[in-house]
Amino acid sequence: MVELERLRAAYREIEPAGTDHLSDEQWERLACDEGDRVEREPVLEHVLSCPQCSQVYRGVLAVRRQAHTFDPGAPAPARETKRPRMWRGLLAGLVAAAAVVAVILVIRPQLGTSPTIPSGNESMSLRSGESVASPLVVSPRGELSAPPAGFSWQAVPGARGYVVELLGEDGEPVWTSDELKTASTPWPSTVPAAKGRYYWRVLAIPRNGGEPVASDLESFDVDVSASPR
Amino acid sequence: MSQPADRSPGFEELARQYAHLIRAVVGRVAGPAAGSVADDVEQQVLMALWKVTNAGEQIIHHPASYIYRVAVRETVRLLRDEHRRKEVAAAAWEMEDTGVPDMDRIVEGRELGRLIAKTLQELTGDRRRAVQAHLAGFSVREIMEMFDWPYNKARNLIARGMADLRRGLRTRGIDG
Repeated sequence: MVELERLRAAYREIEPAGTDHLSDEQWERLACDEGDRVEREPVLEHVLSCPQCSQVYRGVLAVRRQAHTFDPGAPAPARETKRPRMWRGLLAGLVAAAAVVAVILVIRPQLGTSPTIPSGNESMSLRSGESVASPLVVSPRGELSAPPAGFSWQAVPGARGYVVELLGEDGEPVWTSDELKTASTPWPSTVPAAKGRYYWRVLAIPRNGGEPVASDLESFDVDVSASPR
Repeated sequence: MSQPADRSPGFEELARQYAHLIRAVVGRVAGPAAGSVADDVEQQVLMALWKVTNAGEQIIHHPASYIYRVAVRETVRLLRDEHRRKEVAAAAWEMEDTGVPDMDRIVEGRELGRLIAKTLQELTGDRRRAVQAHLAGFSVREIMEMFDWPYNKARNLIARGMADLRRGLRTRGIDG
């Protein structure tokens, strides 16, 4: 497992996008929320890949965040300037309706004889040549009032075994199981079930060799600190 | 011209608050090494704010937004200077250091960087941006502000994007 710090150090070795650092004017426009997405994208692309501009931007963000508390002329924090509540409610309704339609469209073909539509179409495709289907996670998911007792998923034909990966809320792995023969496993005794958000997924290991096939990444929130139930 | 710029107590107080804020930000962002210059920063910022407002009629019309822009400019200048100062210090340290550089480690780091860049290209737009920001060291809060994302969206994109990145690295032979 490559630790985050090693990944970050290697990331700093990548050549920055674009050769020039941001000009004073570009910094000002960024700090004042001027310019549209088309203008901002290449600018942020450079900032994210340039260690010097990343550091400067961190400072600009901090000034922007706090200036508003004593200077009415400074731009308001971004979250406060967006979407009035009324529109948020309407938007939430539309999103919910779209989700229902999407679920119907995804589930109905699965009930018939047509091929399965892969879920998680946002994720990159690295599953070419897979010999088993993606496992489907069952629990835990969503909001939990107590730490989960363990993990369970649906077994898939052709799998020799499964590996569970548990990630913390920053997306960093906190635990990886040994290869399991069953479709469930208890919460690891080595990981304290602290309050917070977790992500997890199952990798099915094909019986006939080849790359493990991962489920979609599922998330759950633990509301209280306690030992597993 | 030299109609004096707004020198009201309100302006002076604002300038002092900005100077204080910028000093704190530079110290926090540039790290402990900036401590040696921190004492001068507040004074430098105040001077810069006063200098630019001396000739500015704009400040009379939009005092607050103008001073904010000046403060941003000053923050950028100080952090750039600090970055350059660190680079010079690092180069001098390398010159003095007689030890043999660990070439294996350098090459390994570059190779990993190349594979990360390749894998990042396979991630979809927002996930890629979230992962880049996470690898660049930005916190979840900073990433929210950067892209104007709500907390849950930023956190989900980082987690899912990092999982994709590690999976992509594994397919390239790195135990990601």
